[in-house]
Amino acid sequence: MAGCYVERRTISTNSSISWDIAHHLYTRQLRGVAVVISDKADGLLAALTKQWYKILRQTERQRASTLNASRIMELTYEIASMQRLRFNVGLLDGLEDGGVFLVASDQVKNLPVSCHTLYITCELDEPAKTSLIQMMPPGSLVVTYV
Amino acid sequence: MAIVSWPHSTRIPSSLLCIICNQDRSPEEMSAGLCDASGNQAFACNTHFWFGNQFIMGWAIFAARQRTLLLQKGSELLFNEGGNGWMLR
Repeated sequence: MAGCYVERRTISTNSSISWDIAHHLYTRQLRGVAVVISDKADGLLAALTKQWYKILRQTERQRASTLNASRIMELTYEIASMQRLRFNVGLLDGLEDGGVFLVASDQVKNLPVSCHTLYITCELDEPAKTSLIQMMPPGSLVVTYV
Repeated sequence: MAIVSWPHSTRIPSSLLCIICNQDRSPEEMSAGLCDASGNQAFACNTHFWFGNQFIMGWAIFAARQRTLLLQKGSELLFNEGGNGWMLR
């Protein structure tokens, strides 16, 4: 894990993995591609998209409730980049310049070059994990759920 | 929830600055987010995740400030010494 930050996260009883990833993604959305490794990629896609739109609506409500022009501008930038974010199941060739990719643990062999955030939500053997982390650019972030 | 590894095997600092509340906290209480305009990793307390409006606004303000700083840096490179020299020619 030479060039990466590693963050360990736990899911509390009153939150879900999709809630936690969506909130964490909000803080990372401007940093290239994010890959989520999950055993239930299809199910997680629906839940994650739903949570993402909840945060988007919350951001829009906050923009609507302020009269401060600079706050409105800051939130408008956030809303625009949130609306641009695309969620996909599987790694798609040629569409790897941005977005979130949800992949099953047995399908992930390579990571996009611009992958700066990797979420590992399932058990992954140590050699596979190490080889994936070595593909990531320096200063990128690996988030593991325990 | 904690930052457990730091790049290039350097030791994890004993405290990290939260960009939302500007408090120094232990890495065990922090979460990594965007990078600042200088390319350094920024962190925020995990507890902010539970306060939707504060969390959304905190990161939005941070992102906007860093975007402005980056644009300033870019324009300084373009229009300062080199740029002025070019304009005075």
